[in-house]
Amino acid sequence: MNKQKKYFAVSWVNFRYTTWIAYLAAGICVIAMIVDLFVDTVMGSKDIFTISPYSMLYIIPLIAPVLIATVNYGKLMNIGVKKKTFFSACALNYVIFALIISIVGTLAYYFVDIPLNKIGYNFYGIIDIFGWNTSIFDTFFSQLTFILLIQATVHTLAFMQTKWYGWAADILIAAVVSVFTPIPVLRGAEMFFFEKTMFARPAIIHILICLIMAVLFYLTNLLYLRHREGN
Amino acid sequence: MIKFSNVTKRYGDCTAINNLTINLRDKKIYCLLGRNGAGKTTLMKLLAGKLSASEGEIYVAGARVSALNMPENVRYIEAAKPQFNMRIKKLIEFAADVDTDFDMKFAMRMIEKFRLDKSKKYNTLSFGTKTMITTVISLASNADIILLDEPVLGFDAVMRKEFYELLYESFTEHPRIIIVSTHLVDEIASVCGQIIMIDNGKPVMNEDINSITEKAYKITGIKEAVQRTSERLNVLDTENIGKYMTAYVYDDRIENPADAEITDMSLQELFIKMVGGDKNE
Repeated sequence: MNKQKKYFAVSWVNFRYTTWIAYLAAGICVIAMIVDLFVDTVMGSKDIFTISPYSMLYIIPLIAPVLIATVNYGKLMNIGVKKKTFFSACALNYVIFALIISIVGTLAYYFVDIPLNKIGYNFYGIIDIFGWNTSIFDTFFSQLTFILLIQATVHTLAFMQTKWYGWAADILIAAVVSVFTPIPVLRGAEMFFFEKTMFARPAIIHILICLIMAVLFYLTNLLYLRHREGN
Repeated sequence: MIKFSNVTKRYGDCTAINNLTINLRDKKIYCLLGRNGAGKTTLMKLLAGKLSASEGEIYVAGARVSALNMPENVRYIEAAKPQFNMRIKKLIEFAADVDTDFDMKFAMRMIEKFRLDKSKKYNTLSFGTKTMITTVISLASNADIILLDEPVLGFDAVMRKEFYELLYESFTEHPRIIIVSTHLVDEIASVCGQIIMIDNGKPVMNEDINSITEKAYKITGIKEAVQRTSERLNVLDTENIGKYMTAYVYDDRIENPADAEITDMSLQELFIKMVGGDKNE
């Protein structure tokens, strides 16, 4: 029970402190989208292509892990949190973030986007882009596992930045993007990778691949934790 | 309880701890002394599992310490490092949530005693008050080993006195190993039980305070008399003023000689003579 209490306490602090920057950024973008939609409606141009506001919630899994892995880590270590507790508590944070964003995304897609598109609006969001709309199961779990993968990747990369291999990983990613994308043959290989992972169909393949990759990425943190200074 | 076995810690080309072997068993307040950069903070971080040793092994209560297996029974909070900008009450409650052995009653009693405002946010406090808060949080932990790194940094004389009272009260209520690193050597002497002195990452002294007080003394008098008296003793240093000489000795006490005077050496003086620091340290 004590262990669980520690995990929840650390998770709560992660939700409450520093990560508000991510909520603020996402909130501003969602409000801006809604205002834009309202203006379009008032101006009578509702058929204009509009990005679904729920898509802006994806800002949270992109920013929050950076703040947790960099700012919160040092402060948590300095109040006496152990590295393994931090590791487990952050996993809890990321699962909760993924659950909330997936639920909101799924509800927004089925109860806002689809009904409004039927009356002439032209919403287009992440679910449409990735084709996660074959069923509610597909929509929810595809988002859930994809968000987990984003968070695990961002957390791991942010956490590695204090060591040389963090910089090496950045250079490698930049090199792959800049070298692979302009060369057609390599671009084909890149596309093949994404088609087999992010865009893989049927949904269960995509869900499993994202889940396995997220878990593997996150587990590599145990290696870095050994070398990362306590604060 | 604590065992460092041939521990070395390197930061690139710099060796902060050099083949350190040390055993601490008794429940006491240990004073960790050393010049700036001597390796005090590194030693504490290694013990708390915040850093990994480059070589050697560290054990706490028989369990091996590593950066991934941080010992649960060691508490180390650095005063100079940032904390979450919570209200003091919240910060203490959070510290209690993550520490199963936290003594909330002791923490609150100390907060009241030192007239610390619980409703204030951490970032609005002065450096000295922040240090006092982190010290209260550390000492309120019932962990078997408490590490305090420069806990009186930024304290005025009144706060320092309060800190020593707090330290003593915490120790008498819950005897355990408390390691305090400080530069205010003579002040801590009133509460500490053992001195650990390190220089360039190596221990130069690890002795009971009573033994040190007994062994550290000065012989002052005419140069020839002092030289004759201290001939067979472990003389750390000598100072000459005209025809007079003072020998700083660290050895068994001798009988008062007829032609020279023996006086106690302060811990500050001993520290300076042992690690060869400048006179301001």
